[in-house]
Amino acid sequence: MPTKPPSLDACYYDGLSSRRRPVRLSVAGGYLLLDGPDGGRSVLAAAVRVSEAHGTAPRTLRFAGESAFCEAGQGPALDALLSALGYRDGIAARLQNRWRWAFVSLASVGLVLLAAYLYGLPWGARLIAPHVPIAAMRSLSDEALAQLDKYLLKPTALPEERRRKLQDGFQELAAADPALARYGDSLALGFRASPRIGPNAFALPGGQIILLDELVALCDDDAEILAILSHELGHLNKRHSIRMLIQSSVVAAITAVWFGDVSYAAGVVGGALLNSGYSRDMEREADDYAAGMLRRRGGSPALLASALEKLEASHLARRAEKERDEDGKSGRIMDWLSSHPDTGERIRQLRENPAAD
Amino acid sequence: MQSDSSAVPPDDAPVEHRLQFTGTGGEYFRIWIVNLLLSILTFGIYSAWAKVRREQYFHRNTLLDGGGFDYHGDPKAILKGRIIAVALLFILSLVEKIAHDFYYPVVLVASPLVPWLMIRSFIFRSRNTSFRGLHFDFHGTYMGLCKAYLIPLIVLIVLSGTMAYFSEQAALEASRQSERAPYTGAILLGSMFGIFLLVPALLYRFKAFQFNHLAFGASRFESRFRLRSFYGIYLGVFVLLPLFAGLILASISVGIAIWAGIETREDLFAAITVLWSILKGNEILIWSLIFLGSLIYITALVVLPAWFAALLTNLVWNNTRLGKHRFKSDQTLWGVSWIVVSNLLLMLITLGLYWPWAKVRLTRYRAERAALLAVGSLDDFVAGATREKSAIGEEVADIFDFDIAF
Repeated sequence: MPTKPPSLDACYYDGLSSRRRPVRLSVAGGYLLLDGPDGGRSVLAAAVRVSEAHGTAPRTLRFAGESAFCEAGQGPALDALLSALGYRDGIAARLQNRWRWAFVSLASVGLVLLAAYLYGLPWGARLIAPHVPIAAMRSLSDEALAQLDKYLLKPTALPEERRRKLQDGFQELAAADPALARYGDSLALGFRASPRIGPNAFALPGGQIILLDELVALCDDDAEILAILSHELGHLNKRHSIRMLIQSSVVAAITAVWFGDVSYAAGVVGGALLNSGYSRDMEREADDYAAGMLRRRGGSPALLASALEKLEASHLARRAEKERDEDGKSGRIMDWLSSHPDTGERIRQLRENPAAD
Repeated sequence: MQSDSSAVPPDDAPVEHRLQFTGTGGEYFRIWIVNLLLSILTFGIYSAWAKVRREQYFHRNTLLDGGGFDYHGDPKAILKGRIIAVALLFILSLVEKIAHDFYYPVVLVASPLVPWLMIRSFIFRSRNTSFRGLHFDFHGTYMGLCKAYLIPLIVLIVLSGTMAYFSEQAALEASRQSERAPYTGAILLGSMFGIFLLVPALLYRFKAFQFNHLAFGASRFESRFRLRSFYGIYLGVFVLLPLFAGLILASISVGIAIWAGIETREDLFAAITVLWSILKGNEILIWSLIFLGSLIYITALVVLPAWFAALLTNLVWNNTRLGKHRFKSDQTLWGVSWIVVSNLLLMLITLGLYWPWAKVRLTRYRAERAALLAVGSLDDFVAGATREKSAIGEEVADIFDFDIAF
């Protein structure tokens, strides 16, 4: 005995009025049959367009080229009717109806985001960085420097003669690398003091390198200072700060979108945590660049190594002092926030591998 | 089979049809995460298809009198809209970063586009929403929107200009300790207050424009709003409630002060010193206070807008009709507060993964608090003429058929 052909009750709308007509749906001979008090009709099975299953919501069966359609509640009767019509869900519809696929998707989203952060983002930034106009970076750096001058930096107290000597050494270094010429006038050495930052030197994306008096005082020898400056020139040559800027703005934008619904603050904090300072690879690249530059000028990478040693020692001393002063609260948080490429490893590399290029 | 609405009640007795929402967080999570993965893998291109899936899920799971709503947006039109929007934003930010001097002229030249984009987006959204086979429509025009906004907008621009000018002036005079500083300050405060007072009027005009141009098939929605209701919501949520909360806090602190026997200013200082010394030694206490404080702050940030949205929705629907039928919305402040605060906490705990459940909860609440007060049958609406494709050439319609709303 043949099984009873699938059929179920549904509502029919003609698309011209909001009138709801009850119909009974069934399938026979490759046709969908509609039968109701107002009459019946048949539609070729191939002309029936079934809506995706959206949870438990009623599904629609539309007819190609018509505004009329049927609306039917979900259940085994509808499933039987649809399979008799030869209907099968699309890929995305099947994916989103299974928990297993949801978890696979979740894990994949995590993996893709991680890979994009670790590899895609630095790669993209490296690609874009050479095309960023220096003028735009310059105006950005000027703004940043103005802010720093207002809050963190003080005018230098170095005697003019000392400054001129360092300036000459710096110009000589910069002239040795033709690739730096694209920074034009922006490539300049600026002198500042900052008891709050301590001994340091940093390169701004526009090409300015700021040397702090505290660093000059720390180094016995101008050759060491010049070694540090060539490391900073390395950051400029490789456009590290432009790359970091691109990376951190992308991360900030994405976290802001993701956490946008939670709170803007969470996004900003997330972005700051993921991105602070140069990456390990960037420091190493700048070290290699400085080592090459020092060697070409008849110096030794060991000069940079000894300067880094002094910086590290002074950094540790300052941190210990700060912890004594403030019970270490703010100091500890700042350390946790700043990415910390292990200086010891960098020093060892510079000393042991003076010939590497 | 007897359809529910064919039993016609007498004309004067409206039948209440509550909206029903049948979606669940788990279902939407699966849709959302698959959408997210495919959008990432296709560099955002799939996001247009994802939007259609999401809209269809929420439309189809919203039922009125047993029948579902439907969404018909074309993903390609949405993709086109997104490309246009991203390009516009990119150009604007590029101009701002690189050619700063041209930024305001460019914004000025581009600003007439904004009402046009708004109208296109309303039209797209309403025409692609249907119920019982009839599509909604939007009849607002560019000139109509400009007219509705013209006067309040001019006032707003004048006030903003005054504010911008006098805030610089005030800073300058304050630094010089000029005698005119108080007058400048007063003008500055006045213009800020003027802007504050103007916002409800803008909102009133906007909602009136939006709802009086909305149609279901050939039937137009009609809204009768009163300006003072908008001022009522605005003042209530952003002035009176914070004031009330402040008063409660103040009376609690005064109560504690009296209970603790603080009478003179020296007593107060002493109490603060004691509190301070307790705090200073206790890192856990400090961090929990900071945590509590930021929690209250964030809560206020989400609760006030949620209250505002709930009251606005109630106001709009309770004063809107469609033919003989009326609408009702009865969201309560407690109801939305509970939902948005618990959503926020769960989203923080799950790093945002709770989002689909949060969205479903809010949607369900909003749907189930809304009702159609039907007078007679729902069978009598007919399709509008705009669905006929003869009016404009299809290609032209296709070029301008995009959705810019995110």
